[in-house]
Amino acid sequence: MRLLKRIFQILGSIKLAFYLLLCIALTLAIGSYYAAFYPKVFKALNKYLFLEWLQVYGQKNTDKIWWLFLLFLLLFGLAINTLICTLNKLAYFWRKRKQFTFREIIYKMTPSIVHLCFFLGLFGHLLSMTIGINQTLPIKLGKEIDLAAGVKGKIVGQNCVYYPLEAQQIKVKGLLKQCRISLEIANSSDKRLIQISFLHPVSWHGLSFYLDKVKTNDRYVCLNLVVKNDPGAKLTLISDAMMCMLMGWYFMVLYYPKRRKRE
Amino acid sequence: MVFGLFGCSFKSLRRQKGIFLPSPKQNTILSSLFFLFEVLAHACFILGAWFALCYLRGKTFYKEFDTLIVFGFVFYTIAQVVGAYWCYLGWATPFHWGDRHLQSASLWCYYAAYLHLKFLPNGNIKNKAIFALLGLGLVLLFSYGGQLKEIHLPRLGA
Repeated sequence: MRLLKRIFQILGSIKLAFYLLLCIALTLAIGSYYAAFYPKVFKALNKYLFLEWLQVYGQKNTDKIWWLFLLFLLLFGLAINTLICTLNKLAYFWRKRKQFTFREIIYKMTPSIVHLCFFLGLFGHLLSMTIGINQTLPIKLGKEIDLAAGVKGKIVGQNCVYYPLEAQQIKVKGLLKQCRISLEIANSSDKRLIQISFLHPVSWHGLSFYLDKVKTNDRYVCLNLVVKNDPGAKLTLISDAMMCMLMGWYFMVLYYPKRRKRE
Repeated sequence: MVFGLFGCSFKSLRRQKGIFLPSPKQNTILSSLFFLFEVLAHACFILGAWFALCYLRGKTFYKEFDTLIVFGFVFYTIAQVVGAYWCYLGWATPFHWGDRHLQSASLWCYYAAYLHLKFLPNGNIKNKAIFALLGLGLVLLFSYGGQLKEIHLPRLGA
């Protein structure tokens, strides 16, 4: 029992968190250079779920992807460390809650809630990489396409806007400004006409439809339709936003009263 | 370092390659907010490192470097979260597996480690100053190393 308690203490220690963060920073730095030198291998990770990517690209490139496994191992360690440390702190403050006012206890618990949000963000990334639907298809006007989850689609309209040829900035002349695609989608029970453009995706029956482009050179682009069901993305974004706001508030309160006193 | 930066600035004025062309995916307030907070964070990290150097040279007035690094980290986190929203709308994923995003994540983890340093037995202000100074190397390498190619020098960062 004592050994178990000791292991629990080590796994939840800040010292471990510090060294794990440093190791993750180093692994990410190394990985970024692999990603820069072999973009074809790693950009594909954005279009496939991790296990699919591993089968298609990973098996052929084991010498280039070793750092990814190390990264996942370290992130797993950090997630465990964050969870244990946070739960310990929250339990401690819960026991002591009667000694503080409501505002004090909320303030003291904020770092723990920030850590919890970080953990949820990591969990969201794990979900995004492992489950859901990730499909990328080239856009061809008038062609019927089989989309994920038994959905059929047809591109019925395409309207692209370019920078005018008489633009003042010579380099901008004729560049793509925005594109709008009309897509007819139908499943066994429902049918709808949606319009998607860059930065304006549309959600329908759990699927999200995005417009993407592949740059061939500065002037010409190929358009792609991205169909996604990403159960982790919203969790990641919401928890990250929470983390950000709470952290900002915590440090503002921590640093500003000190300054006022000094002044 | 300052002379190096001046050198690069003069070289970029004389031999610049041009402007970054606009992309349809940049046409959002999220893009502007991302760059605003990222630049603010870089400014805090760089100034924090400069103050840390002054502190290490015995000028105790400059111990405020810690505040700069902490707020740099807050701005950097805001930039990353805004960037994740932008990426989600434009590229259908909150994290893009590319060198730019990996280096940003690396920098974030490094400064997250800095925040945890004060809880360690050897996390005194001198070690924090050394840590802040080393962070400058990462910021310059990852955030500005990539810009070297714009003035016909080998690219180092994203």
